[in-house]
Amino acid sequence: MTTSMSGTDIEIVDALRAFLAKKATLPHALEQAESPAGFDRRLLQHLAELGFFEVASTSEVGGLGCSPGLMGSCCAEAGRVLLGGPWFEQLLTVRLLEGAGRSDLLDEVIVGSVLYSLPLASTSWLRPPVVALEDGRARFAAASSELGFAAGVDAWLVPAHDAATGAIVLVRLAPDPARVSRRRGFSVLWPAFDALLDDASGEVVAEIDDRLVATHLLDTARMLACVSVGATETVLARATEYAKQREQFGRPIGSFQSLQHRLADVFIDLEHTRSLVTATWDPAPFERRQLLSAMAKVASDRLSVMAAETAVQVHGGAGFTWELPVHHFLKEALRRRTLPESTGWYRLWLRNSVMNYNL
Amino acid sequence: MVDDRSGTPSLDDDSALDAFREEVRRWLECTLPSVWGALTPPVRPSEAVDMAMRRRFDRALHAAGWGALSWPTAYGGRAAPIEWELVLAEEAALAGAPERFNRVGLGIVAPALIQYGSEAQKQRYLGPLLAAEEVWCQGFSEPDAGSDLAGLSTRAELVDGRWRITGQKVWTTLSAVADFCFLLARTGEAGSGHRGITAFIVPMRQDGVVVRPIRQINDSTEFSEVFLDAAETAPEPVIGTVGGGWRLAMSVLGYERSTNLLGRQVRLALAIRALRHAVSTYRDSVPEPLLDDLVDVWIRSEALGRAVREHLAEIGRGQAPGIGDNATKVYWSETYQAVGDLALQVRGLLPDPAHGLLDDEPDWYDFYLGSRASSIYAGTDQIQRTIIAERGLGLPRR
Repeated sequence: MTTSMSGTDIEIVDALRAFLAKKATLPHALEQAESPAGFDRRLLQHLAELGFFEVASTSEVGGLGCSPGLMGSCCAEAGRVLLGGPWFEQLLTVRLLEGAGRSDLLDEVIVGSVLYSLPLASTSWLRPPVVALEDGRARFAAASSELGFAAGVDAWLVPAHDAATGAIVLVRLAPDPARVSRRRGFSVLWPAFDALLDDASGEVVAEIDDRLVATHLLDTARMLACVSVGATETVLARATEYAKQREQFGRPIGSFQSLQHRLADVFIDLEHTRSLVTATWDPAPFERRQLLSAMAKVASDRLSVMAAETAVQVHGGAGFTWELPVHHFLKEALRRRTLPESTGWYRLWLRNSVMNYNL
Repeated sequence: MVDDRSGTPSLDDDSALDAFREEVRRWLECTLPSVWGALTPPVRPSEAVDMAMRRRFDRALHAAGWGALSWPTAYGGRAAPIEWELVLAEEAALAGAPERFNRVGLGIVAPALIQYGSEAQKQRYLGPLLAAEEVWCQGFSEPDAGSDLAGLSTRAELVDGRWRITGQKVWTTLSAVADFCFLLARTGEAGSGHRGITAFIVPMRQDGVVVRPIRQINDSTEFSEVFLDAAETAPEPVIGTVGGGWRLAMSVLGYERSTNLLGRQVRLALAIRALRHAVSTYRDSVPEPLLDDLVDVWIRSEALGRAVREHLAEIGRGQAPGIGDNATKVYWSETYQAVGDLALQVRGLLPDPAHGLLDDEPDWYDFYLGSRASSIYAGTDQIQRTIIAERGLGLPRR
């Protein structure tokens, strides 16, 4: 997801791709999704050892000296295989902690010894829950998760606000949050939990400022966009392969123009959305990166849903069943369109930016 | 297209590029008034006046040495990186310069000559082409060979050692004013498909050639039908080899798509900016669904700008245009048409729909009508999709 990858970057992406192809198969992810936590913790540990979470760090702490776009490439690789677990949240945690100047907390995140979940949508950071902030602690009457992977992680990172200031609060979880129940979400690969902590308290790790929140929304958008591009690459490849093999009327269905043109439309949209998403990692003024990231999120959400719908149609009757995995790509595309942040918010932001001629 | 780059700035040399941009801006500021003549934008010229403006602009660029920045120096170019062409196209569009006049010659004929022509052909034709002293048209489509271009039936026959052309061409852009035609004709047996096609140079001003303008849906007569009756060809008329015309044509069309899209994408981005301006001025009159449509074309325009630059960078690195160019052609035409449609809807909502939105905007009705051609010419969008499916995705042919 960058136009200028260094040799080291390319090696990291190649190693990641090879590892994911071998270890992060879809059957494995589906099996793990049935477990209480909903994901394979050991797999994320292996990824940490490969430097997967370190790529989110731009500072010297990370030490990889990688280009910003490397994180985008890693997200795209994870998207290709529909990687399960709170890896996305872990990457965002690195970005948030680093942005807040708490690099001292990064080590345990990067090595994967502490797994984080971000239990509130990214836009919640614009309007954090109101709590009592005292002596570096935040006390919630109750803290609840509305997003995935509330269980099976070690800590939550939550925005909070009192009358005076906003804060990032780190809530360390007991082995299990007080009350957890799983509910039906968009996708089995992104299990949603209702998790409620009664009388919870957490450590204030930093103050929130506007720039930090804007960066969080920007990162959420462009990272999700990369995941969508990666997932769409797989979807298109699978549908194309199926169209070459499956025969009706005595010839491959991929020789019919009606199907050819639908798949070509996916290709056309994928090529241009990838270009747009790549641009979000280029050096540019902050406002420009905000604009491109919002655009990338909106464009990639539409692309990935459209591509997965097309793939279901190309796979015909079998595409509508659990016999083939194509439906997971559709469900994950629908999930990403909404969680951890919806297309709608970015679309509204863009609508309001129509009049901003600096953009 | 570009081989000899010695002594020119490298792709990474941002400061040289910035300096060039400054130079271009200053030059445009000084030059454009004489290009426009009495008709400073936004006054819209008639077609004949527009052509005269375009020709003046081509000549001014040539005089400045910027007519073909990326061509080899031996033929009047500067052997500059493709980014320089991008800067020039951007700044010219921003400053309201007209489009290039000799665009068929610059976009298709010159690349064909540089890549496949003999040295004598290059020496004879490239100079006058660049100076807009000799104008070129492109004789590809025929009444019965549009999308199925390889089925063309205009024949070339050797008579006393000279090739003569008989047949009919259509949608021949600039043929009414052209000096030469870059023409595809059949030299093989009837039904020999793409293997029996040869590229010829045909002088337009001769008895064997009759041009009849066609009135287009936008009232322009920029393209015509051309009747050829044993028309004479130029001395040394074959570009490339006899029977090699198809490969040559497809190769140069790929370059043309990339380079033409450069200016077109910039113009589209400017049109969207004008539409944003209009919508924000009349915000209360514009319903929210149209604002969403505006956001959509804005997103597409940003994606397009990025994709075009990526394709040009690939060409700059010496790669042949790939399947991504076919995809970009479709993406561009769909965006162009969506902008035209949206603009007319926005205009229709305003108190005085017959009046324009603002002073400095394009003529949206013209813009809309012109956009309908974009999914037809240079290979219809349907043909592009079939090419993408078969060559890009490897789906089986019927």
